Amino acid sequence: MSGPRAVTLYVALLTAYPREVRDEYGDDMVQLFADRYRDERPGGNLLRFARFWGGIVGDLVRTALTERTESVVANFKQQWWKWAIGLVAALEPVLVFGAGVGVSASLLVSAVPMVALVLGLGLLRSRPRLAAGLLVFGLLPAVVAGIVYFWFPPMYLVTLFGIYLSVRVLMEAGRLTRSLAPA
Amino acid sequence: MSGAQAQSPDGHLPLTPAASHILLALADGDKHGYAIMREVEDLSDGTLTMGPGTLYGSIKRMLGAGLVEETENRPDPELDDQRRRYYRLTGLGERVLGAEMARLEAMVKVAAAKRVAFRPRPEGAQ
Repeated sequence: MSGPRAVTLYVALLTAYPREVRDEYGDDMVQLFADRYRDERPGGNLLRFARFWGGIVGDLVRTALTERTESVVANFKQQWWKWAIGLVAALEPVLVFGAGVGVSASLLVSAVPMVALVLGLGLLRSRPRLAAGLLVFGLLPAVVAGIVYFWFPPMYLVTLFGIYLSVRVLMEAGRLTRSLAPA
Repeated sequence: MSGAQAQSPDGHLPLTPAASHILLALADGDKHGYAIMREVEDLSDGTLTMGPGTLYGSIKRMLGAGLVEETENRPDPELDDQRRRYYRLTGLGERVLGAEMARLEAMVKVAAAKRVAFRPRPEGAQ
């Protein structure tokens, strides 16, 4: 395999890494790969070729897995509230059903805030203000759960959590709106 | 004194083999990634070969921990590619490297006191 083709293959393999790693170190990694390929010349000998590519692929699999895991954990730490909103959306039919309005009515009533939550999450980056409105509206069933189920104190926690998520959404929308505003 | 300089080196110990070799490679001057990789191979007698992922993953973590930093000092443009990034030890990195070497030295002393053979003896040797 020629040097340029090997480099092209390595560039393709780099997609195994998260984008932030590729953006920061991708060029350096390609340069290092090209330097090694030039100096070790693994193309002429099958054993050397296998050892070289075995080392490269082994390094890539091991470190890409680590980087991907770190990226997912860091992303979850930053964006956990989005997953929490998804959980609230999934549980809203249960909350509404518990109010005793029947299965069909529960699904119907909870469908509107569920759609609002899904739409809100989808629009958060491009239309932060609209998204915040949709999300706060979608969180209403959780916010009022403590009032509807006043006889069941654990639901007060759901209300507090709904209020917390609403405030978090409004803060995030404010931050995104400022970052989108022309300087 | 910055936060990184005031930090205790003990919190960074023990270092991984890759991290300690990278710090050791940078102990005598600024180097770019490929030069670090080559020096690590030399320092370890070829037992530690770092691929691009291991090298830059370690550098990323060490930059985050304040052990190394990028340097603007460039070699003569005639001699090297200006696109390469050069790294050097920070004050904290030097102290962490020193503490790691002291830790390893203490281990070696304990091993010597316990008469641990540093290399496997050839078969039949007394």
